[in-house]
Order: sequence, then C-alpha cells, then structure tokens
Amino acid sequence: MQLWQSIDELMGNGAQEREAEWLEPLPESSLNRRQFLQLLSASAALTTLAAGCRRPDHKLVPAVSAPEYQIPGLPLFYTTAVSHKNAAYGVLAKCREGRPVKLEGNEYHPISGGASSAYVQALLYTLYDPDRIRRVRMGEQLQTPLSTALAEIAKRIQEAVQQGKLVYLCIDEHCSPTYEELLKQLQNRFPWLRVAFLPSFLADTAAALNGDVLGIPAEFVPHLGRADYILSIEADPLGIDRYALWHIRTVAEGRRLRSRQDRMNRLVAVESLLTLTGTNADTRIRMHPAAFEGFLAAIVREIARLRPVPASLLQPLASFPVAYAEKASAIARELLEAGERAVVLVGPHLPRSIHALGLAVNWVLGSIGEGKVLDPAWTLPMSHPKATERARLEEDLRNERVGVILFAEVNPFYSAPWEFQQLLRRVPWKVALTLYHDETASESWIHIPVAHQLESWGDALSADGSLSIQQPLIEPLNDGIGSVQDILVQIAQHLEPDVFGDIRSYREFLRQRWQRLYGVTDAQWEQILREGVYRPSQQRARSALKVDVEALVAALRPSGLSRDGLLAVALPSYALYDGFFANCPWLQEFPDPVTKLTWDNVAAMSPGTAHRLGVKSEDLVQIQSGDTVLTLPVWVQPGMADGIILTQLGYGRTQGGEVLKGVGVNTYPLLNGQRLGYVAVTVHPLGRTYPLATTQRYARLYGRPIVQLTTLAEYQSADGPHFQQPEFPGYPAPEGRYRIPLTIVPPYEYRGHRWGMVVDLTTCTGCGACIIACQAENNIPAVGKDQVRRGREMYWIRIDRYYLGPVDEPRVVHQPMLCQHCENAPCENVCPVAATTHSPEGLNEMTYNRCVGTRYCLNNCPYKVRRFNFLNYHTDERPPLEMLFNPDVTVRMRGVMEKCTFCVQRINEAKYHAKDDGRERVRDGEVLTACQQACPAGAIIFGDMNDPTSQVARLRLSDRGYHVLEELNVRPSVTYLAKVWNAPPEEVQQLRIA
Amino acid sequence: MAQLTSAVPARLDHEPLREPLVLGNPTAHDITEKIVGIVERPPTWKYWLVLSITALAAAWGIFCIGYTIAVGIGVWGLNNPVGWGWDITNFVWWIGIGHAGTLISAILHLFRQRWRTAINRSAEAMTIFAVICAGLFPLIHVGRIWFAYWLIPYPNQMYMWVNFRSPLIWDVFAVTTYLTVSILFWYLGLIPDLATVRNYLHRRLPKAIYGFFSLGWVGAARHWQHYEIAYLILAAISTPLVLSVHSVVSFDFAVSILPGWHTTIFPPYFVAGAIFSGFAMVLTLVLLARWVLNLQDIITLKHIDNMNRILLATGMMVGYAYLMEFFVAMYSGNEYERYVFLNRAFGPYGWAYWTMVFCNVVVPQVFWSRRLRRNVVVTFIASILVNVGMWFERFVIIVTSLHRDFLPASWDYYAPTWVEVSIYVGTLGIFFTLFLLFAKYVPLIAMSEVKAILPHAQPKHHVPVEAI
Repeated sequence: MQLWQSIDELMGNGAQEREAEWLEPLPESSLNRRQFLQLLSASAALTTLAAGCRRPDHKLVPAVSAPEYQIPGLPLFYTTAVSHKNAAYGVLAKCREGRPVKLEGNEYHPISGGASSAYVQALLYTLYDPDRIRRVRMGEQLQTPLSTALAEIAKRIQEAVQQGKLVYLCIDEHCSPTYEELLKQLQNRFPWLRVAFLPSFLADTAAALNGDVLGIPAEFVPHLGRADYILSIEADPLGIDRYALWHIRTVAEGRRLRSRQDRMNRLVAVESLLTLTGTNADTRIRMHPAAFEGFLAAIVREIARLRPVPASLLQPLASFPVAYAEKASAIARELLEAGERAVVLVGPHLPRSIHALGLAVNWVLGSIGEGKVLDPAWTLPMSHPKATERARLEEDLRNERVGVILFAEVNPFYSAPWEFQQLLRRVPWKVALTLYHDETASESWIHIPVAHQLESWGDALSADGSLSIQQPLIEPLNDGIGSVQDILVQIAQHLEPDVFGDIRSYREFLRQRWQRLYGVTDAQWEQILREGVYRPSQQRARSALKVDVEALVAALRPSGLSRDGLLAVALPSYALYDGFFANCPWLQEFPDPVTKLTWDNVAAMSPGTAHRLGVKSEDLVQIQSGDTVLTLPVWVQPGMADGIILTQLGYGRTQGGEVLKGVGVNTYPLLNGQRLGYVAVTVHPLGRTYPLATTQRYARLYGRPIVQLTTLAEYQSADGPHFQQPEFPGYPAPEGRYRIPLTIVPPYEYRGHRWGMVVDLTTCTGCGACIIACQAENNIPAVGKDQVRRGREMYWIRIDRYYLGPVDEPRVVHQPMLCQHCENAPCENVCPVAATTHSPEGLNEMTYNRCVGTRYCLNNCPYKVRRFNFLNYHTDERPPLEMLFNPDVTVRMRGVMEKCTFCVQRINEAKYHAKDDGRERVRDGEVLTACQQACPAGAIIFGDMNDPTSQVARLRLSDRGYHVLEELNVRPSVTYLAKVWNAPPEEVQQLRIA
Repeated sequence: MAQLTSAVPARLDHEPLREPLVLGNPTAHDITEKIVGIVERPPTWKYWLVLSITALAAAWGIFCIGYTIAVGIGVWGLNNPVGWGWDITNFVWWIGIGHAGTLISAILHLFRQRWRTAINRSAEAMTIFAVICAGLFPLIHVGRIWFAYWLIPYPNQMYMWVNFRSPLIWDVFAVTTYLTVSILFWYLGLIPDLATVRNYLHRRLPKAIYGFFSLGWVGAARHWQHYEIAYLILAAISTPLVLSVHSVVSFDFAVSILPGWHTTIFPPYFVAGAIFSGFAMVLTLVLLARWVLNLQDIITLKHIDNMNRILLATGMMVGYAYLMEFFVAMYSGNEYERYVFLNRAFGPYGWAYWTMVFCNVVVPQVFWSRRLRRNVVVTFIASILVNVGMWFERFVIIVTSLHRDFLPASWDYYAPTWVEVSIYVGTLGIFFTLFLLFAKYVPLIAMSEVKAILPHAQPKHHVPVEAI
C-alpha cells in the first residue's frame, strides 16, 4: 500500500514544489535556531535558579553552647505578671524553645490563684500578632532608626520647652508602682512635663464618692469571699469588672457545695441589663435604672425601721420616689440578716446618687472596714478620680500650651470625643508609643512600636498589696525596641544624660527601686522571680474608717434618670473590653457570654422594646443622642428592662491591624464625655438588616432534662432534690450512683487510668475563660464572622446558655459542653476508617492522620461537640503567628474532624513524669486540662476516675451528679453537678412546670 | 428460548383477552429495522442540541466538584450539626433511582412479567448511570478525597484495616457490588442485540467494535441455551441486591442514634421508596424515548399502565411509612423522637416535608383511575413530581433530623450553596449525557426479547383474520 500525505503527493505532482520550498532562502531572523535554543535553555536555567524548584532552605543550627536550662522539646515555666489596665494577674508562662506558648495563672498569686481569664490568654496572641509594628515611623519614613526618632523627640521637646510650652504624657490606668515612681521622678526633674491619665473611658464615680465620704479616693475591690449576701445593682463583678477573675474565684468559693450541709452565699442582681452576674444571680430583679434609687432608698428605710440609722441620712431619702417597696423590704431583711457579711455593689456606669445609696447601705450594714468585704486596704490601683486632671489637660490643649504630646499605650483618637480629638490634633508634635499602628499612631508624627508586656520588665501591684515582677519571656519581636518605660528613660537620657545617675535602663531602675524600697537582695530577687509574688512586709498605713455623713447626704440627690423615652448605655464588651483587643481574632470570635454573639457589637434591647419599635434581631436602627447618630443592628435580649438599650464598646476600630477592620461600630460617642453612663436616645428603625454571627441560635430547653436544677432549700431538705430524671430501662452501675441502660454488651474493664471530668454547674459562671484557654492550648483557629454565621466555629469547649422561664425575666444556666468521652461512643463505631477510637484509659481519641472526613461521627454525636475543618482555617496566618502554636498539638488541615482530647498531650506529659519518677500512676491533680486550669471558679475538675482518692472519683458520686443524655447508653465520662440556686424553692418549681 | 416455552394464552386466535404487548403486529424484521435504525442513522439536530445541554451541565458539575476538592467542603453550606446535606441526599436519591433497573430485569424476569421486555434495557442502563452518579457523592463528600481509598480494605504497610462496624463500609460493598452486578446483567442481556447490530452495520470500524462486544454471538441454539442459563443465574443473584442495597443505605441512618434516623422501619421503607422513585425515573425516560424515537408500538400504554400501578402501590407503601413513623414517634414516648417528627412537619423545613407528602402520597392517587394511568401527559408530570418528592424525602430525613437533635444549643439551619446545587445539576447532566449516548449507540429496546413476545412468535399463533 502506498503511503501518501497529500493529494498532490498521491497524484505525484508535489515533489518539485516541495523541493522549491526547501531551496527558497528563509527570511532573515535575528535569531537562528541554535541561538534561540541557547537563549531558551539559559532563561529556563535562570528562572529555575531564581524561582527555585524547592522550598527555601531553613537551616537548623544547633547551639554551640546551649542556653541555660533549655532542653529542646521540654517546656520551661517562668512567672511573670501581666496587667489588664490596672488589674494585675500573676502568670506562669510556658515557654518552648525560648518562646512563650501558653499563659497560665500563677498558683501563688493571690488574685490569679492559678486561674486565668480570656484577656490573659489573648495577651499571648497580641504578643505574636502579625499586625504589630516592628519599625519606628517618623513622618513618612517607615524605617527610622530608634535613635534618630529619640533624638528628634528630644529636640522637639527642647524646642517646646524653650517656647515655654508643656510636654504631656498621656497614659492609661496601670498598676505598676515603679512606673508611677518613674513618672514622678521625671516630673520632678522636668517641671514642664505633665502626666495625664487618658483611659478609653472614665468610670470614677465610685472613687470620687469614696474620696468625698471616706477619704479614700479609690475604687474598692470588694472581697466577696467575705460576703454571704451580695446585692448587685447592675454591677458586673463576675463579668466585665477588671477583677472579675478574683470575684469569680471568691464567689465560687462561697457557693461550692461539697456536701448537702454546706452553706452557700446568696447573689441578688437588680438590673435593667442582663449582665453575666445577673445570669448567675440566685434571684434577679429586672428593674428600670430610674427605679434603682427608689429601690435602694426603700431598702435604707426598711433597715432604718429595724436598726438605728443616722436621721440625717434618712431625710434626703424622701426625695427618691418609692419603687419596688415590697421586694426592697424583703431584701433589706435578708441584708440585715447577713449583717456585715452583706454588701451592695453598684455598677460603675450608674450615677453618683445610686453609688451614694449603695455606700449608705454598706455603711449601715457595717460591711466597710478592715477585714470586711469592702476593705480600705483593698483598692484598685490608679482608680482615683481623674476628672480634674482631665480638665487640666483640656484647658492646656485649648490654650495651646502643649508643645509635644506623647501617647503611651492610649488611643484617644479612637475613644475620645470628637471635640477632644480636635484639640489633640492642634498639638504640633504628637508621638505614639503603642503596640499597633492604631488610630492615635496614625495621627501622630512619630510612632514607636513599643515592646509587649511579655517582652519587657516591670512590676504590678494587686489590690491586696502584693507585688509581682513582670519579666520578659522573649526578646522584643519589634527589632528590640523597649517598652514604654524604656523609651521614656531613653528620651530622658537624651534630654539629660545623667538624669538617673548610673541607671541606664528601666530594668535597672526597677531593680534599684525594689532594692531601695523593699531591701530586696539579689537572692531574694531571684526567689521573687521564681515565685512570682512578693508581699512587702511594711503594711500600708491604716487608719480608722471615718465616714463623712454630710458628704454622703450631699451625694443623695436624685440623678434624674427618666423612665420616659429610651436610655442607652455603652459598656466595655466582654470580648474586646475597651477595644485594645480588637485585633485579636480569638476575642473577636469569643462568644459574648450572654448574647453568644461574635464579631459585632449590637443594640441589645428587651423583647418588649423591640416590639414597641417594630424591630427584630438583625434589623438596623439609628440611635440618636444629641448630635451623635449611630447605626447599629438590633439584638433582642431576653431579661432586659423595657426602654433600655445596651451596646458594647471596643468595636468599630479603623486602624491598627487587619482583623479589626470593619468589625462593629464605634460606640464611644454614646458616652457622656467619655464617662460610662446612661444617655437619653431616640431610635429609628432603618428598615434594613445586618447579618449577625452567633454561636448559639436556640436558647430554650424544650423541657429536656439536659440541665438539672434545684434550690439550696430543696437540696438540703429531707426528701432531697427532685431532679427531672430521664426514664429508661436499666440497672444500677457498679458504683451505685448511676444507672446503665439495658445492654447485652458487658462494660469494658479499665485497669489503669480512666480519665473523667466533673463540671459543677453551680459554680460555673459562663465567663468563657475555658474557651480561650482551650483555643490557645490546642491551636484552635478563629474562623471569621462568615464561617461563624455558617455555624462552623471550631471551639472544642463551648458554653451553652439556656433561658428558663418567661422571656422577660428568664433564669439563665450556663453549661460548658465538650466531648464527653463516652465509653460507648456513638462516633466511634460509625467511622469507616477507624479514625476515632477508644483508648484503654477511657479517652475518645481522634487520629487526624487517618481521618478522611466523612463527618458521620459528627452526625452521630448526640452532644454535637465534634468540629469539622470545613476549610483550611490556618492558611492565612502570617508570621510570627506560627510561634504561637503549641508544639505538642497537631495543627489540623482541612477535611479533618477534631474535638476535645481531654488535653491528651498534658496527660502524656504527666505520664512521662510519673514514669521518670518510677511511679505506676499519675497522681491526682498532676494533669490539669487547659479549661480546668483556666477556670477561675474551679468548676471543672479532671482526673482519674479509677483512683478512688481522686477528686473526680469522689465528686462524680455526688448526689448532684448526673450525666447529660444518660438514657442513650453512651455512658459519658463527664459528670455534671446540678445547678443549685440559693433562692426560694417555688421559683425553680415554676420553671420545672414550665 | 425460555419465553417460547412459557405459558401462553390458549385462545390467541380470537380477539386477544390480554392486551397485546406490542402493537401493530410487527414482524421480527420490523423490530430490528426500527431499533437498529436508531443506531445506524446519524442523530438529528435535536439530539445534538439536547446532548450539548446535558454535556454542558455535566461539565459545569465536574468543574464544581473540582472546586470543592481544591478549596474544601467549606464551599458547601454544611455546618456543625448538619454534617450531611445535599451530598448524601443526592446519593440516596440516585441510588434509589438505580433500583428500578434491577427490579425490572431480575425480579420481573423471575416472575415472568413479559411486559418488562420493552423497558428493561433502558431501565438497566438508567440503573448503571444512576449508580455512577450516586457513587460520586460519597466519594466527593469526604473532606480528604485523596484518602478516600482508605475505605477499601486492602493490606497496607500501616497495618490499618477499615472499621467493619461502620455502615459506610457496608455502603462501599453494597454499592460496588450492585454496580458490578448491574453492569454484568445489562451487558449479558445486550449480547444478542449487539450481534444483531453488528450484522446490520456496513462501516468497518463500528462493525468491528460491535463485533468485539458481541463476543462472537451467532444466535446458535447452544448460545441461546447458555445465555438463558446465565441470565437466569444473574437474575437470581440480582434479586436479593434489590432489597439489600437500599437496606444497607438505610443503615447509614438506622444504625445511628440520631432521633429521626434511628428507626427500624427504614430498610423496607427505603426499598419501597427506591422502587417508587426508580419506576418514576424509568417512566420519565421511556416516555421521552417513546415520544422522540416513535416507539409507541413497543412501549405501549399497557406498559405505562403497569408501571403506574407499581407507582401507586409503592407510593402508598411510602405513605404508610410516613404515617407509621409519626405513630412510632408519638407512641415511643421519647421526647427527642417526638420533637424531630413534629419539627419535620411544622418546623423550619415544614415546606420540604409537605412537598414530599404531596408529591409522594397525593400525586400517585391519580392512578386509581385507568384513564389517567393511560394518559401520557399525566404520567409524565406525575413521574417527575414523584422524583421531586423522593428527593425531598431524603432531604427531610437527613437534614431535619440533623439540624435539631438532642441539645438545643447546637441547633442550626442548613441551606445549600450554589456549589452544591451545581454539583447536583451536574450529576443530572452526567446521567442524561450517558443516557443519550446509550440511546444512540446501544439498542434501546431489548430486541431479542421483544421479538420473543411478538404474537407470531407464540407457538399457537394464528394470523388474525384481518391480516389475510
């Protein structure tokens, strides 16, 4: 067969043409074939070299001389102190290979007591926050050497001083006595220097009143461990209070029921908002703030009926309208019964008159005094009234007397009123000393990115008078630039080289002050660093309590809060506080303990108010107060008083990072000149909606026995509590306390450890410290608002909050929910690839490597505590966030299921230690899960159920113990202890009937 | 031939007592001409138009599958309580559709229902394509598809074995077995017809291809004898599969502890539902084929009538299951169970529940009327509605049970994203593309079987008087 390629060829007439084609000279090209190929290969080789076919080399260089104590793979613990505004927390930092990876409370610290809060955990995130600035900016120059900037600042200060102008240093409320001393010395040395507190918001009503009446110009830190009866007038000691951690600890201690004979404190909340404290109250009275005065006045009058009270005090009470007289008299009698062990707490945002009434009750009850609940020795550092110094700053600004202003970790261009910001703008030279390039830094001419608390030296004073040293855990990540104090020392030295004699740094200043003041030797210093706490032997001067009744009576003037119209109040947010934490995704996604909202602030209002305004959740409304108009989404919040709108501060930041952008609305303009308080507003629905992301969409129990409830009286009664038990055929479990549903499968016998947990619903306040601690320990990503809206938050432990009873006055229970490590785990048998299995120690284990992601285990989990990585949530993390990860916990990729492991990495570590010590078993208390360790209430107890002496083994047999969904025969390893309220039994019985 | 020795009505010389299965009294040659003609002639522009639409849908679906694999399951609307949504709904729906084929081929064959011959080929093809579409979903719904092969027990260096306690493993076996047997059964039945096509074709390559697949069939008596035995054996093997596959699929739910899933009624209920939806899909397809390819004489109103009776019967079985589920839930005294069922009917997905009830229970009731059973338009609409209803049945079972289970705090709502919808549309595209290719290249009607039921193929056949 003839092979042919074209018709022409087949016909035999193409040959010549083809020949001609070959003979014809090719058009000239600048490249011939060889050159082209040469170029091609050369460029390919260059591209290969330039781009690299492999990942860049990261060399692991072993240390020639290893750092002291450092053993790769083993953690080192350092004590330090962190401060959240003027509250100090003693902290134990876990460091791995020279970087802190987890903060825990320092057990020896009187305030922390081993516990930590969400803010403490979040501070670790801010340390590694990729949005922290690393270089000094001066004008347009983004990479100015620090020395240049300092010289420039010194020059500008000198110029200003020559012109007879002042230099202002604006600082936030802090708790460092050495910082205070430094500022004092600087002011003594430089008379032109003025220091002004410029906190995000002012809440010094109580401090001012205490100053006037008691001569103690500070806010008390109530010692609630000494209280049997706490009446909270919209105070939030267990919530937003800076000492909440301490309050939760002490209140929990007063209501921990170890046996049926135990006593329990009584917490009564009177409030118009639903605060976290209100959700934990034994009795909660929903009341409009306009009635607070009348209510308290009625209490004082009732007390006066039963006990002698100065007549001068009673006289002005007539000006308050009577409100809730019946309830007031009942409460007054209860208060009197508790006597000096009763206390009235008043919310920081409430007017002076209510504070004065509260103070009057406390005084009459005798709860103020040394060793009492309100101990004059227990005050909040730097909580003195700041109105006058604030006025002086404003005055100086108005008169253009300020030449240079330094903002030390304050952000007035975010939080201050607009007029005040305009005044600040007129200062010619502004310097920002802040972590982030925030609103104030962008308004400033020089921005120095100062070191983080965890990178620098300092000290911190707690309310009880104990001191802690803040020691750096890591070299400053911002190119070694020091803390605010370091920078101040350096600026001072630029101005006057020998300003502090031979002291060159703030660390030396600190060390020298401690030596001078407390006589701390080097050995003692080491010891203090190890323990983390120092109690100065010299006690603070104490004098007899003097009450200026006249001043108190003078303060008893009606505030004029009105019931007509709408009142709005903006309070610090449970998640972001005043906005400092706005760039921390952990806290942005931290579900508000009451609303369970993430990533937004809202206008919370009662169902009645929402109905009256014709709005529902997610509707946008305009809130107008004077010239201020804010657009906020509505959140219908059960339990609030009608006519009240609550919104949160800390949102609506514009500068300072990628995370905070576009989250929420800045509600600082709603403050009354930066002071917390109610303002009259008008609200207009806009007819548009705005999506909100909540982690809990349904809040009712639908009669399900998920939470067991009782009251103290019923619990202690002869018949005991009547828990709503699920009915199922079964037989008693070997330990006697529980029943096992009928089964033909004999239970597995655990010979070694058998890990279990007990969660006490009575002491749990729902604060959520466990959530963030778990997130930090287990490398759990924040997923963002969109993903939360889709119901894909990754928390391994969540706190379910249920409303019981009527929608207007609900009773609230918080129930931490985590993997129950069921003995008969329904997730295990449905996994086709055996990626989730049971360990011989009773752990329900998840093998990420093996997981293919069918999600069947999630579907079959009755507690829905399994979390699926729907997307690669860790991909967009920028350096140095990888340093934040706990190296003992795998970072999970997408397509993999995950869940609580009972901190198996900690269990294994404890087992290694036990083995090293030649022990067969881990001792009780040797393993603390991250949630347990953080919990200030001590509501979570973990341990070996097989060890009869362990706390868990004993507590799980408590008569309050129950298993959630016991009837499913999943046999959970988590035992809940029933919620007990110290309230009249009929209140809870009503709930059961409902 | 089995058919030839089967019972034959005694009085064929009169007006037939039974309605004839093939109209127009065609000869065997007429049948061959008609069916092979479809293969032989080039397709019309209508065919190309429809094929391009379905292929486009298939391509879009495949792109969206790729997108899901590249980015993650997060591109779907699933969330923490609702781990399965459209993915498993579509899986169960397609598997259900794939049920009619085997039922028609195997069970009706064993019961000597000779009317099946007109539709069995397309029903079997539909089964295979539906199972292919079904199998796609468990595969792509996993978070890490590149490890999906771990669901197959194979010896490996990890010493890891699958978890035989998991119903998903049972699924893997059930579905792959079903697919294998269905393909074998379909292919076996095709052999005589492929040989016929081979004999009719003139162009070399197609002839060679059909020749290859007809395995040297020449229609010898010995061939027929072996063929009939093999066919009978395969029918016997397939028969339990009809019951087992969907029972196993229902175990995915029944074995769990979720209220609304944990139900002993599921296996029969799912099988009935599968036959219901399978017949509905067969009806949809054959009505289209009948209309487009002028097969009214072979697929007669009697066939449609018969299938509608099955729809009516299985529809009522499904309706009974719906009622019984409610009764059991209420009677159990289990509050979770009660809540799930009340929530199904009156909760946020109530619309889906009532759509399901309307389509699956109310719509088939029209087939009590013989006139409507034989109405092609009514049947066509009903068949589509039944499949809509059956899709919603699976959706209701899966999603309403998951979205509100034990702890109210974890409840959520689920809605699909465009990706999930696209993948579903994509599998419809794949299904119809495959079916169109099948209709063009493979004899759509089992010629050899139809020829066997022609009047003159019967031993006592007399030519009717009119024909003389």
